[in-house]
Amino acid sequence: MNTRHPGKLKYCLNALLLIAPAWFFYASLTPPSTPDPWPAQTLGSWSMAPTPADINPPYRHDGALVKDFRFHLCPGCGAQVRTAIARVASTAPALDAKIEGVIHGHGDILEAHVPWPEELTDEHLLWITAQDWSGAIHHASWPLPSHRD
Amino acid sequence: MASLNRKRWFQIHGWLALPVWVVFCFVCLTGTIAVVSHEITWLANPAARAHNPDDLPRKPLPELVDAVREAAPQAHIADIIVLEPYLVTAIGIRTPDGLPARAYVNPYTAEVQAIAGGPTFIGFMRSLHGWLLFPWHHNYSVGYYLVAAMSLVTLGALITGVVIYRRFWRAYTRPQLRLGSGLRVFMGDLHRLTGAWSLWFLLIIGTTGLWYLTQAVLWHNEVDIWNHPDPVPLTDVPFTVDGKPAQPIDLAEALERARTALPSIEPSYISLPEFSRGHISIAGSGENWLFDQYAYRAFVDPWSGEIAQLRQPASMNALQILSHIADPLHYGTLGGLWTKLLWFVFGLLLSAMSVTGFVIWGRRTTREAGIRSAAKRSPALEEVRT
Repeated sequence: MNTRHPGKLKYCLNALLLIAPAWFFYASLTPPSTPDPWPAQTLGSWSMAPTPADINPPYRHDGALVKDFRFHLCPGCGAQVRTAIARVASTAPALDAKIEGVIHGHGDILEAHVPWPEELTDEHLLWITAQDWSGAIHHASWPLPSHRD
Repeated sequence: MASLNRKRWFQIHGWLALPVWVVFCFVCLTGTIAVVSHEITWLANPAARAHNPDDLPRKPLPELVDAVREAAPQAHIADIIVLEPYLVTAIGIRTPDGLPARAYVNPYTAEVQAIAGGPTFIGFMRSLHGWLLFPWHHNYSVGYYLVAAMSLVTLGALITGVVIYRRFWRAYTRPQLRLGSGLRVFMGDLHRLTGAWSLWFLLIIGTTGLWYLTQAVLWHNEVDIWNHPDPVPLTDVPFTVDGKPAQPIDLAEALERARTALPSIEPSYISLPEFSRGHISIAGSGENWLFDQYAYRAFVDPWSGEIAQLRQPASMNALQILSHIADPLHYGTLGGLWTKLLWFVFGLLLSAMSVTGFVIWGRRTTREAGIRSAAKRSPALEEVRT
């Protein structure tokens, strides 16, 4: 760079921005570790273990708080679920027409965007309500992280 | 006065591009490579090629899916991507441990040529060009904004360039590229010549880029361009007496339903339901060549076979039309391989223009600094200059 004309240098500073994609590419090769799965529970003839998708707090989507979860089912059990929802509530949610918190995906590792209350209370649990193809309904619940420590 | 105005326009031309010229060049170069990323994949990866020496017709998509089920019985089929005629059909699967992978299937022989996970070169280039690999925060990425904002630079440089390059149309009738008059003259000629010949390209890239910027704002504010169909009512999902999973309609029937509703559809992307109340989404191109390969879409109820929602250009509003014509124009896919190659060449020219522009400015700055320095030593020269 011509030292007599530092103006030239200032117009090259924007090249520093290109460090960012290099950094993000490196970061993508070493993704952060995900939280540990919560203990598996049995719902009917299958088992399910939720895992928060990340360590971040719930995010806002369409004005409401949401937290993403993954659900590890026993091998071959994903297909056994007719429908399942995950909600944070004080009692087991009933299956309804809504799709908020519906558990979805392909195979035996499914996911859900779980609606999250604005303020958690001690009564709040992560609830799963699931139905198998015969119509039998099963429930399971887990204490939330702030109440697990 | 006219001269002063032109000088001001010239300054604006520089102010627009100079502070970001390296990033602009990088975005242009990565976009240029992204345009032909499918073809580079074809060259670099033999498993991605769809050899068809016997000139066979394409096999039905359900047959390709069956081939994957046979090759990977434990895998779950998630989606199907139909690519160019010289490329394999990519069938998205989830492995038993939940990882996403793609099966590369020859669409003419139904041979599963490879099963691979991880990012693809095509996806990498689109991400690098589209948002510089900046992370997405659910509904926005700083990188996407940065790249889309380059459309303002492109359009600004286009407008100011046309103003300061008087009678630019002479570049079409009497192109000038002086090779023996020094670097600055050569760069100036090259910059003006490529600029004049790239006006149409700058306009297309700038305008579609402006749409991407608009789209980023819409995404960020969670404004949906499309209303998705309501999920299948839970009461419509069947039960079974023995508790075994109910069987939805097969892919062949879903495709038939979509073709009946949209006779010109050429499926290019099919996603299978992720839950029992989801739809089979069949997207494709159709008779209107200006629209992308997702402009025609049918959402098929997997239990009844009924069409829950149809999308096609004739019934789109302005935002929906923009969202489906931007990509073919931006990436040059609207006319197949030949327009992609044309976009590739002009993408290189656009990338080079940011370099030539910087060199011209640098040389001009050096020259003016030299004159000022000389004028300090010789007041007479300063008088001559003014």
